[in-house]
Amino acid sequence: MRGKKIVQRAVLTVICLFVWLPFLMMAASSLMSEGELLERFGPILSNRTGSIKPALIPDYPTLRPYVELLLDSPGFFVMFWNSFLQTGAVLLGQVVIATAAAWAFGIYTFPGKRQLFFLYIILMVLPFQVMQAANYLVLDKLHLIDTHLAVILPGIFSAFPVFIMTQCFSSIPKSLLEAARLDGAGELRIFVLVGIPMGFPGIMAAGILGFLETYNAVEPAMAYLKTRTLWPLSLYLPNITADKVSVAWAASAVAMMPPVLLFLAGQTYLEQGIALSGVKE
Amino acid sequence: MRRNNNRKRNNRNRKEAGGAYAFLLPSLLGTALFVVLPYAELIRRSFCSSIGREFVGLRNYIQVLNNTTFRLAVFNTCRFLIVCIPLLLLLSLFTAVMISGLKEKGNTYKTTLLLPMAVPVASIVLLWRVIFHSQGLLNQVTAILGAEPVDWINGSTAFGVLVFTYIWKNLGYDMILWLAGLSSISDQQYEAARVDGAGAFSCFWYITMPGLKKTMVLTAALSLFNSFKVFREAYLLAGDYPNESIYMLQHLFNNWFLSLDIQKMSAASVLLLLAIAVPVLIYNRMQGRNID
Amino acid sequence: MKQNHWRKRITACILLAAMTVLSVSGCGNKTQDESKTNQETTSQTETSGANANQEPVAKGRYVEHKIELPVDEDSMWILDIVKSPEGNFQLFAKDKNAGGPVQLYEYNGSVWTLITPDYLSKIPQNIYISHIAYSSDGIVYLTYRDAEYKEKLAKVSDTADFTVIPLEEISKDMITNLHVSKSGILLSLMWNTMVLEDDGTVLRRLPHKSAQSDNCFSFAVTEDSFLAPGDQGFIRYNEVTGEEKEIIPYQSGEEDIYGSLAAAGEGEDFYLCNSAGIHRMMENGTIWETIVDGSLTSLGMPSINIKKMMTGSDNDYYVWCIENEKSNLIHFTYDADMPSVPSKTLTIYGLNLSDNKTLRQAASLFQMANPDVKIEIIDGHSDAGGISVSDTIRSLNTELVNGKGADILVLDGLPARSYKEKGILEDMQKIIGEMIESGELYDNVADKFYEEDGAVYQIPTRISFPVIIGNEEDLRHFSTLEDIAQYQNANPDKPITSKARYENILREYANLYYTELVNPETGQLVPGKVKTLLETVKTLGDACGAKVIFGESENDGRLNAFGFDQGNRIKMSGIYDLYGGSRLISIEMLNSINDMMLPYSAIDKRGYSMEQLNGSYLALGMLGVTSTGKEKETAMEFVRFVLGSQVQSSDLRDGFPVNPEAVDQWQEKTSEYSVAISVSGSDDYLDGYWPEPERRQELLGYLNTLNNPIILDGVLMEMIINESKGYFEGTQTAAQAAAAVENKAKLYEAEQQ
Repeated sequence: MRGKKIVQRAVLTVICLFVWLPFLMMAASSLMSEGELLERFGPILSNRTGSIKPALIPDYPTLRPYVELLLDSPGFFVMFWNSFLQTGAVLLGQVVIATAAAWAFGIYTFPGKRQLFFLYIILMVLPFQVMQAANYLVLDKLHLIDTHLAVILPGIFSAFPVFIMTQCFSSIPKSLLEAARLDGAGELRIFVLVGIPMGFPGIMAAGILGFLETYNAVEPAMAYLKTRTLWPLSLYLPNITADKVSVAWAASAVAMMPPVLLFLAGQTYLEQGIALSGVKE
Repeated sequence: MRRNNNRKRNNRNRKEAGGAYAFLLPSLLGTALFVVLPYAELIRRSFCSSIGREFVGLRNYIQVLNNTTFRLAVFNTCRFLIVCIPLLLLLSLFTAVMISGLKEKGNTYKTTLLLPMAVPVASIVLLWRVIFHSQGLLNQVTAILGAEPVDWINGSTAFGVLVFTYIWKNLGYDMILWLAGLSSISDQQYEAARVDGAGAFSCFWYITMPGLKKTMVLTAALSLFNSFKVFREAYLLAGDYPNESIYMLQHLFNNWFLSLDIQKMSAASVLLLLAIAVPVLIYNRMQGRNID
Repeated sequence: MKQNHWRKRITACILLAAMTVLSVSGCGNKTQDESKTNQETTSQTETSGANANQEPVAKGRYVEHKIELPVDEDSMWILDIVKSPEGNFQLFAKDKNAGGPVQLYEYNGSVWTLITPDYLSKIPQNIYISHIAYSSDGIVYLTYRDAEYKEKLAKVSDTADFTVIPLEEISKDMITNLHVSKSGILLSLMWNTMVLEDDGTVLRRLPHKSAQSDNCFSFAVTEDSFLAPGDQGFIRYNEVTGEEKEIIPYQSGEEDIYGSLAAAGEGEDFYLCNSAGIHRMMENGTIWETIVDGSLTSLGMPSINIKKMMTGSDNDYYVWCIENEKSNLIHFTYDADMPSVPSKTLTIYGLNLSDNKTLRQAASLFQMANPDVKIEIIDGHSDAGGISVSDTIRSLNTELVNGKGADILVLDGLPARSYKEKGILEDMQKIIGEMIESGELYDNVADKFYEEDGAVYQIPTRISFPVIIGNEEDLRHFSTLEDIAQYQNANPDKPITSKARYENILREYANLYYTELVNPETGQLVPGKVKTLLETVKTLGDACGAKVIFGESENDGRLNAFGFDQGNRIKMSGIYDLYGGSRLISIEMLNSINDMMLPYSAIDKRGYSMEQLNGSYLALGMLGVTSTGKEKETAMEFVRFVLGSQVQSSDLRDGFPVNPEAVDQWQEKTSEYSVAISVSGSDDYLDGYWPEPERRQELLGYLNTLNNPIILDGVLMEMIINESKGYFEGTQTAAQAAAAVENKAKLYEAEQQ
């Protein structure tokens, strides 16, 4: 039995190496000086001969890239802030609007429900670029182009969180709701007092997934925001990778920090939430 | 009495429906404006000429269906899905079974496998260059085995790189879904089977597998949606015209967009929509049965 | 275990909080920035708001007039233009050839008069004066180089003799500025500005501290302060104590140190003149207030270099600037009847317009001629960094299909063929036809842009063309790719190109022989030609010692000499290697007459011949008017304006004109610019001077013969480059690589069906 466990752990460790190694490499590279980076990554950075020599420990570790990134490039902070503003607003909107919609889909029966739900699912399908021109038409008519709202509003009405949370809410036992109704609770009260606590992991999971989605999204901002001071970090990142070798890795590392930390902090919810969306009685 | 009861229920149903619509309304309005309206515009464009407003009937659809690149892209996209999704499902199920065996101790692994979801595209591209470049890490490993260096991203191996990327990103997510499915199967069933003398394999085959059927449908569906998202990586790594093996619908859409063939792009995406609607409809029926 | 889990979560939360704090501090910066820009714009909006009730358009804007100068610079040097203690402008000049005494002209607001104060005759005639300044009591100070070429400082007045102020330490340095204030003589040298007593005693040194330049090209002295360029901004020194008081951020960046500062004479306000306009910094202010918008005046023209700004007495400004090696004095006055903001906006979009000088020049001139039009140049991709070109084009297309977008497109790098087919571009036949008719456009050039139905959708604004230089018998073998390969094979020991990466040679020859490679009518690859190209490049490369990549040690000691990544834009010159004997012929891609100065020197010394290559040329700055734009008429006017001789006649070194009338002015233009390079390993050198009139005629005469425009399809080019890598690395045959290119090209083609 014990032997089997060891084999299991060994196999999993090997699989996890595929994640750990790149992460470690990124972390190590973010602590390298420009000279060392050129030395190690010459071929991809500037057409050099020789081979790429990634390392898990830098030869001469330095915090210089972080200093340069965080202190010497004001653009970085503006974009960091834009990212948080846009992502925060989208999440807030989703929590209010998508949760309510998911609650409706999850626990009520009403005419047209199945068709509407089908519509919501099908709306998730097409890739962004296909919708780019058509979305522009609507946003332009509403005079939202080149404002934060051009990214925020369509983000709020993404169908994905509705989908995830619906699965979650529909697992709440009907009997519980019946009991609440018999106690004379109104529908809104039931939603607030029963739905939200019971569906909390689902809401959190949708929130975390929504965060990842919005925070890492490149295309909407690129398509609808012309003013560079409105750009989020996800757009700044490819920029910095191309221009400034020295801070490329540090920028990657810093940009990844919020989602990773959120992940670690909210992992239990994420698991429960994803799980709830998958299993129902 | 019975009739009275019926009416009561009708009343309640109506009231319930009213509540449902109230909850749904904000989302419906926003969705109609920001999602449905653009879809309608897309469908309209699929029947019109490029930027003009003239109606051209089914001409775009005929053009698209006759277009050889469209067929190539459909073929490649299907091939990608057929290879990727089963592979991902199997691998994630495998890791899930492994981790569920470890109970509490599996947490670190779970966290690890979920992390790739958080990596921004730009960082993935940077990492992949280091690994798959013709002077990169992978070639140094294969060189030890005596192989010639290969440009993994631009050669015929591009398909493999893309499949790897997809699995790398989505393994953790699917694994959690499987884990949830696994935990819903009660231990008593296994106990009973073991008492009957069943081996580990029979346990898996006769108890685990049937119990995971529903999970599988959902996992497959979510994997399908996620598969449309690896395009950005493909495109940033290999450009507008990548190796033919990873020339997919999104590449074609993108290039049509560049040459302002919006009408063809629209028609093709309506076709894609229809193609996906069928499995979704089936899924929705199954779900619907559950929801009602 | 559980506890462990919690610890992890708490750590994560703390870190998350830390990140939030960081981002909020970023937010703090942001809001500060915002408030700055807000304040900057309020001054404008307020004026428009105040008048909004009575009039729909806010009025009032600075306009410019050119003041004719009293001297002809072909025969005279302008030594300096200064403000006299009485507030009049005085221009000091000297005859270039005859020498003689310094001449002095005074401007009374309408005419210049030659005056002869007594002190003029006391100035020695054999010195080279560089700066002149008045003290408040009328003593004239001047810096000059004496007959031994040493920098000197002297003073003179009507009542006193010419006296040299002894300054031993400055004899080698260049004096960049001179001013006389109440506390002393301010003299700018390298590193610092010195404050001197009348007898030459150094009172103080005020360091310049700019990372860009050790020199101080411009400073300002207000009542109590001295302003000089620093690292982050202008440094305000207390003029009396030399103490550093504050740093005032640059208006548009470090290039502001090349602009001109001026003080109004009273108070602590001071002014900056740069290409963005004239700006005021109030006492204790932190924000530059833009008084004159440079983009609406000639200050924004790339052909203009600002030399010195002076303030007038009535809120007016004088700017002495240099254009085409000639001085201009521009007077900016406030016109209360001029609408403060132009009513029409014409937008011009292009992928890379940041260094399109012709367009910027045209925009400035057009705005001056049409005060109701504001031209907005949108640079779509210049500093987009990692954002791919196709992402940028997709954003543009999104606008275009929705009937939005710019009025004029600069089509270089954009899918012009698709735009044409999809009806995005407007027919410009009317203006183009007129211009050909009146001889304002080369018909050999314009002809190529006529469609079958007689429409014209795009037209180049500048031309760059290749010439080939070498021994006469060698030049005969360059009409086709096959010829070249054959000739190289026949002379394997004489490389035709310079040593470089295969990719660079490939790009060069794919560019030069593009029309052989790609059918100009259909835009498709000519079957079999890719293979010829690849084989030719291989032959050329093998002869010159090309490699796929050069290692660091293989660059002959020159930093990345052979391995540099030249990208898509070709700027080639082989004259150095031809002269040095390491290549057989040289191909020069010419953008201006300057580019021929060194080649002509080589031709003179070695008796080389020169020919234009196959009538081919790069069509640069292709303009198209969009059918979706709102200002179509103005857009057409603008296109006509860009092609007109006013714009085309200036040589901005970004291409030759397309207008024969402008070429006449190019023919006349002279320059004193010269250039020399030594040939390594010998005493030999090339020295270029402005070509003689016959040579200019020969060169400009080529423009009549160009009939083979090269309009690159970036997608095809990238396919050729990327798919052929294997061939040069030795893993593929030419046929395989060519097949791979053609395969991809087929995909590209088939998408359009």
